[in-house]
Amino acid sequence: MNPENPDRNHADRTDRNIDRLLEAGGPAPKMPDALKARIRERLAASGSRKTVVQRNPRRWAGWTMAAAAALAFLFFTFWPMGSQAAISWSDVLDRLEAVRTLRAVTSTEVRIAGGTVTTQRATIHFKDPGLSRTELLAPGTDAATAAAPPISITVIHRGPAGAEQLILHPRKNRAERVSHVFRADDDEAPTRPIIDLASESWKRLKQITGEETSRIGERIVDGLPATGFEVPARDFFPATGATPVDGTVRIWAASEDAVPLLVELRFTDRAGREVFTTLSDIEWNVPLEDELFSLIVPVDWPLERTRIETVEYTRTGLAPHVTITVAPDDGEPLIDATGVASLVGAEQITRRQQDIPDQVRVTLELKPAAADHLHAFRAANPGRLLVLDFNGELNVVPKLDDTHPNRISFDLSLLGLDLEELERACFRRRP
Amino acid sequence: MMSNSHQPDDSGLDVHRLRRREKDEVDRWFERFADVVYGFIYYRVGRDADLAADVAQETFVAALERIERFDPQRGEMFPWLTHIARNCIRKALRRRGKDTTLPDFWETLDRRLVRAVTDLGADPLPEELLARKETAELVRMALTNLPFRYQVALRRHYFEELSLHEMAALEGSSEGAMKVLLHRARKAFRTAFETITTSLLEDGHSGRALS
Repeated sequence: MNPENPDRNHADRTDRNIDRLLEAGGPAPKMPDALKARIRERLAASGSRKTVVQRNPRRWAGWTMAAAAALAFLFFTFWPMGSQAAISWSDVLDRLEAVRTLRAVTSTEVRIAGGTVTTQRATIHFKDPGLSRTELLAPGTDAATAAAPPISITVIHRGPAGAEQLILHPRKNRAERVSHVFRADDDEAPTRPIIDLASESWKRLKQITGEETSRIGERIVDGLPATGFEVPARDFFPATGATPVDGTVRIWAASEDAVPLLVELRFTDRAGREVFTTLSDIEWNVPLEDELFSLIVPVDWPLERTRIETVEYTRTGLAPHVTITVAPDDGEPLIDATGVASLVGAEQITRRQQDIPDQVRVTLELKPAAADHLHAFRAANPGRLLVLDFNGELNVVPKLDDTHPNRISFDLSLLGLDLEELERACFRRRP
Repeated sequence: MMSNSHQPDDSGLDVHRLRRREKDEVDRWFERFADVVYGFIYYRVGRDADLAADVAQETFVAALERIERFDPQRGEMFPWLTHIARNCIRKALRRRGKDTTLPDFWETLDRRLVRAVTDLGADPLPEELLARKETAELVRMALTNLPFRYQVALRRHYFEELSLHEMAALEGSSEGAMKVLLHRARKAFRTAFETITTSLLEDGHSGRALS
């Protein structure tokens, strides 16, 4: 209490009371998802000529194996393959465009000597705008009947300049919360970095154009005649270290109404292994309750909080006084700052509960000749370490990016500067 | 009007596309206002979820049918939708033979929102009052009467526990702007809460509105 300033005391008490009221109250009621789906249908029916009319809304909302079997019987008996009008990729895209929620199962198998091994199974949920939930299951677990809790549950909320990610570990009763902040140094919105491959692949699926796909014939999927479309895997996947080097993505859509039934991805990974991933048991536009995407941590679970800030630079470069060399350990420099084409980006990772300094990582684009020189040296001297000298202050081991061969990234945490301080000290905005 | 109709709701909608009933824009419009309109209706029909569902559907369909009449120069989308919702509520209550004084009571509340009649700054609120179910309901009711942006800001800050920085990232805005927004939202909440509480106490309508 401040007897000298009663107005201030009054304001403080008001603030505290409002905080306590809001914390006691909880959020306002939300519209149930089933109702949202119903109203959306009504709006689509009463609104636009461009609306995609659902020819079979019950199936669109999710159908059972029994219904599929019955339909399959009808198809086989009365509706020979090929008698119906062929669907095109644009029909499939129309369907995908109308998707607001999705639930499916993904499974990944790797071929090894003597057979295949299931390496990963997960149930995934997407809900527009920007919500996703992935439940990672033990390999071999049936998602529908799994008694054991998932290995992990990841919920992501995306926004235009950031994302919130909650990772629950039900078998260890602990949780991680990651706040992603995306920033760019120009007026353009930052490119949203990839947080999880499943969401990125889902986004990419909707961007495939007719020119990219080729028809690969028909087959029965889940008891229904389906038309297949194929696109090269390298065109489909976002550029990451996990990018397949070779392979295909096949999308099987119901020949009757173009609803996608199955997505198959076959590729050879960088280790030369054959990988087969499927997206199956797909349910489109099913009601998904908001609780599925809750960011609330169970009571008594320890929570680790991390903040990751990602910055894209298009108008910023290294300051003129900053020197850089890359040299083999105890050897002559292979490249210096004149080999740097541009500053690409930076990332700062802050772990809030841990008493460790922020991790700051910078990525540079090298000129093609400089990059070739480094890659050639590394290929000819696989055992030798490359060391990057940053401004005569720090020696670190850089990472050469296999996906973007001209890029090099390195950790500047030991400089003891956070990203903003580093930007002020070592970067300059170009005119 | 109960809400501050001239506060920006930053809906970012393209009204021309909405008038052409372009599906993407209609979806975006509905997704943006579904929860807040539902919350607005829910308490005004006496927390009858079935009736709230019917009224919400009627409101959105009616709004889309007459979207040409919406003029962004004259006001914002959320207040316009609540105006339609009010008419739908009145009709629905009459159809079902329910007490039509309930919306009248809310209209009274709307007018009373201009003045705060209790003083949250007088004393710390007692714990037993905060623990009461009715208090939580009043908080939620007050929240549903705030402008769209304020509802979103308070939800993110208090219930999703986002920091100012994280809220700014989601909005594509600055921490300073978020701080100002939160300040205004809390102020609007206080006004809404005090007015609702006092009016309920004065008019003895709490049983009808809350039960």
